[in-house]
Amino acid sequence: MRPSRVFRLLVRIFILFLTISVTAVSILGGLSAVMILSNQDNFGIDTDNAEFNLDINNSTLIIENVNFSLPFNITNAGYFDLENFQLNIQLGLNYSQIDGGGPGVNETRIVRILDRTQNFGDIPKGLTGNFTFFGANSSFLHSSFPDPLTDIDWTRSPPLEFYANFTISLDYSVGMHSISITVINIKIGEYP
Amino acid sequence: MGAVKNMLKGFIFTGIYAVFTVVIPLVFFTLIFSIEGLPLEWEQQDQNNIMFWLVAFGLLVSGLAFFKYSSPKQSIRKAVFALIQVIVNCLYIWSYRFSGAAEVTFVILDFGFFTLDLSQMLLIYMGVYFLTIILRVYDIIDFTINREKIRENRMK
Repeated sequence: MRPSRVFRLLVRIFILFLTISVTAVSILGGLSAVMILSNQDNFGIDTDNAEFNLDINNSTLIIENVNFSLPFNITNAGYFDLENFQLNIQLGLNYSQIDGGGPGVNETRIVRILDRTQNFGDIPKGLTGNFTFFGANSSFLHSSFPDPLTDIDWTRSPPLEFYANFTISLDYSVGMHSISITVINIKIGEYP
Repeated sequence: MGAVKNMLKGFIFTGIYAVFTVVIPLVFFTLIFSIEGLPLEWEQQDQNNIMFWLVAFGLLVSGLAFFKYSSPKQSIRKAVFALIQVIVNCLYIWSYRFSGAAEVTFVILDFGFFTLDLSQMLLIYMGVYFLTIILRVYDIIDFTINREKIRENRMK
């Protein structure tokens, strides 16, 4: 065999090895994703212990402070590390708008008051990551808040309701699989 | 006799490529689209796109396989068709990406949705194909430089 063909054969073996490795990682990654997603216990969003603090000045009805925290955990039951694990939370405030046009014109509105993504890094294989998502006062979209004096119908019961969309996103199998799970319209509290 | 053998070899490999690049993906996606109640977010237009590009590039790859495998061993013709085939193979893999087949979204009623994105995996496979392109270019150069030697060996 000519020397050039021997060199070519070696490169071909290397490419074959590379292809087999990538395919093996893809298959194992797919299996891992199924293992993680098929067991609900691997994802725990603890809405019972979610805290939403809304401080409204009783005399001026101005929102002075607002923050939100949500504990959650995720178990990596697969073969690879979970990478670039992110949680995005969108909070919506549901209220009845006072239109001032007489009876029957009030309508229910939802405004987005928080849209924050927090990156929690990597979760090594076989471990459970316990995290707390925190939305500080500065993260909230204060300009979206309705005016408590002129917009919110306080006679409705309850006057304010809070809904959330959760999006968990992560990379798997050395970044070859990107997974995102979105849970929409979960009621997380009301005020007062 | 050698020519007939090469032609036969070309037809056999065309068949193999057609099965792997057209028939299997087509059956797979047809089955997925036909399952009642499977909460996939693909619309009819997305399905048509996926099917069209897979068949289009799959047929091209299969057709090129005929010319590659029916060419004499270590010939410049074979090397050129092999190079074109690898490039079209890259386009075939990329068609999974731009037709939307690499991003699967399942809608779960009263809950939300789940998305699986395999674009990065396809990019890694294309990286491997890029190495193969280098190998094919090397073949063309090698077969051109050693043309006489290859012919002598073939005659023996």
